[in-house]
Amino acid sequence: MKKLEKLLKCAHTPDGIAKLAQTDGFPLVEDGQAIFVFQGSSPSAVNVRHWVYGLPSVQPCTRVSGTDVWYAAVEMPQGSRVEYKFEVFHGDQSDWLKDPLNPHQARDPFGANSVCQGEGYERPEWTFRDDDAREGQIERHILTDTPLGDQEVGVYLPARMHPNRRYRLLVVHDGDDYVRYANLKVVLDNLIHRLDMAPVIAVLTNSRDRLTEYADDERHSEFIAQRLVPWAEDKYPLLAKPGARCIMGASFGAVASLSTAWRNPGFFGQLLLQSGSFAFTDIGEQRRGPAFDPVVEFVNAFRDAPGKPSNKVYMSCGMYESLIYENRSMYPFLQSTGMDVRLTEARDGHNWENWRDRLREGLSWIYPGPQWMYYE
Amino acid sequence: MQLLLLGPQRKAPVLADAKRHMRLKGPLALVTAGWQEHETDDGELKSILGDKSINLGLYGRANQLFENDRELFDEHRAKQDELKQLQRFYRVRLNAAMAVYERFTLKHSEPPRLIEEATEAVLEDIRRLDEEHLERVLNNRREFARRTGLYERDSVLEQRAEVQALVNECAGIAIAGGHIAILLNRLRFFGMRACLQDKPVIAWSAGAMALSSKIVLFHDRPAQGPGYAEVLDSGLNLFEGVIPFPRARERLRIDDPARVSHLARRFAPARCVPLEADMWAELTSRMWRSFGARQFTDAGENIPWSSGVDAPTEMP
Repeated sequence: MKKLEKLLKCAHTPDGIAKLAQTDGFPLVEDGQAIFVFQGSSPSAVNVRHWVYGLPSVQPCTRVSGTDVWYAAVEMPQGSRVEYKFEVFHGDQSDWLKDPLNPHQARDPFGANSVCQGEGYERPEWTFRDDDAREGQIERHILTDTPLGDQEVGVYLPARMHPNRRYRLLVVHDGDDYVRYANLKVVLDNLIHRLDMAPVIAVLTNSRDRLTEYADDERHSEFIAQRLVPWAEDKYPLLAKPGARCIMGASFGAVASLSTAWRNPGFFGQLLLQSGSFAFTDIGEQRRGPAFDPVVEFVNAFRDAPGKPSNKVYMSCGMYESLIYENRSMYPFLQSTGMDVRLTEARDGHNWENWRDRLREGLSWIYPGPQWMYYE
Repeated sequence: MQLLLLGPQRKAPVLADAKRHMRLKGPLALVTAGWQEHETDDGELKSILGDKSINLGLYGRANQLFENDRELFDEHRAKQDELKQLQRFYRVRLNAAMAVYERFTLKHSEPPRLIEEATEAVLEDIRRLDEEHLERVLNNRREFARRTGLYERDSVLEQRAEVQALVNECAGIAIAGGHIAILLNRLRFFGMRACLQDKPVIAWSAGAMALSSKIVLFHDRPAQGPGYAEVLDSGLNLFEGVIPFPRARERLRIDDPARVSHLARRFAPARCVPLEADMWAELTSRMWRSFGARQFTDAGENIPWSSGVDAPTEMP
């Protein structure tokens, strides 16, 4: 491996690591491997901590003899994207640190992780702000006296929204997190501008207790189907029919989306389910922890009597998530109900950038834009 | 006849120059029906083309027409639904034929002559498919006109007369881009072909496409699907022998000789002309002049289109 040889050489050179960071970037990636590099003379041990299901989550680093450089080589297939941190030991104490040598970071509600981009991975250009794209805007509203109490929602309105036109609705679970961590507003602006998707009005919901509300909670379903959507369809120029309603979410948000659609069959014509936490059991106890108990109960009940909640379902899941097996299992099952289902797998994990990177494919399939017909 | 075809003008890079080139004495009639509900957002356009420009309001007129003539609206919707279905069926057959075509364009061990013959045979199938589809679309349109008595309908005749009167006050006509099918329908409803033959015309993007004899939809990097170019309809037939491809640099892989060659060969003898923002092509009498415009070749190149090129046929 050329890059490993280069690293070992640079480790012994003054400023060698800093120079290598500039020329090659860290982690070093080559031939299906990533070399994670940490520089520090005081640690007693360094581990790479990642969330790739299928690999040991703790990868011990080796110290380059006579230097302050630590490294670990980890399998990293083409096109992969992996989040990680270094676990740095000083005696019995350890801290989890982002990689000081790697500027790529991904944020989530719990903070930020460093990002290792495998060979061939490129952040999609449509996730960056496009100066040519007209910008939509987000309004804030408070719905009072709902089954879940007062609820603050955001509403994304597309650029140049016209009162004479009727729009499709997108209900987004954890909507503010989608905006903050998956660049949802920029993505919607770009996809609508490029005609990849039809212009939509997106309602961004946020739960104060998602582990409860998203796990097939009847109050949540009532809030969405009987308060939120009618409110939106009354206030905004929406088409107000199942074919023009999509509900989406990631992780527990995907469970909430499926559960709401199941409790209101035919109400939402489209579902967009990202890394759905679709834990279920065929027999025995579930092993994902007590937070999953109501989810397992719902998914088991759904599998017993699915009906046909919707017409079109886009699913995506990272191959490095433990949930990949549940999602692979759900895919043919959902198809068997007669729904038109698509599943995309990505070499990524359970994180916002994975969900961001799938949005163009998902949203353009759910709500195709007039790309073929529009020549401005 | 003076006809200028331009590429996208959203930031209007050459529209003012093109208008000056036409040396018109008098206001322009504007068609922005392709902008749909934004038809009347024409302030910026009028600042370039002249404040006295008159927007014919074809999109709004059609809405009014449909509101007052529900029977016509229902028939129109049914026609559009059938056209969408016809397009879907055509696309299924086209995708299959294109998959075969693409296989033949990969590297082979067979003699090149055999591969070329096989490729040309598939192209012939695709051309036939294109023509069959256009024929079906034409029949659909004729049947609609016959069933509704479109050209004798009072509601339509009244609007046409109004439009004609407005055009008569103008020195020329400008047709903006936008939604090609909606633009084309509105131009047809209000008898614009006759008006366009009598006046100098400047048309861009979908506006240019709508005036051709064959409208080709294209996008090599669509969000969904393989992105094979497909024919939609014949346009208003103001010119033949040229197929406009607005914003080709963005929508097509023009650095891929195989993709470019396919378009050039498939639509031959018509010229495939990419129209970018900073160029135009002009047709006067029977002569085309290129102002920076280019054309695709069978060899897969994107070369300058020579000026002084004869238009291949008499103007219909």
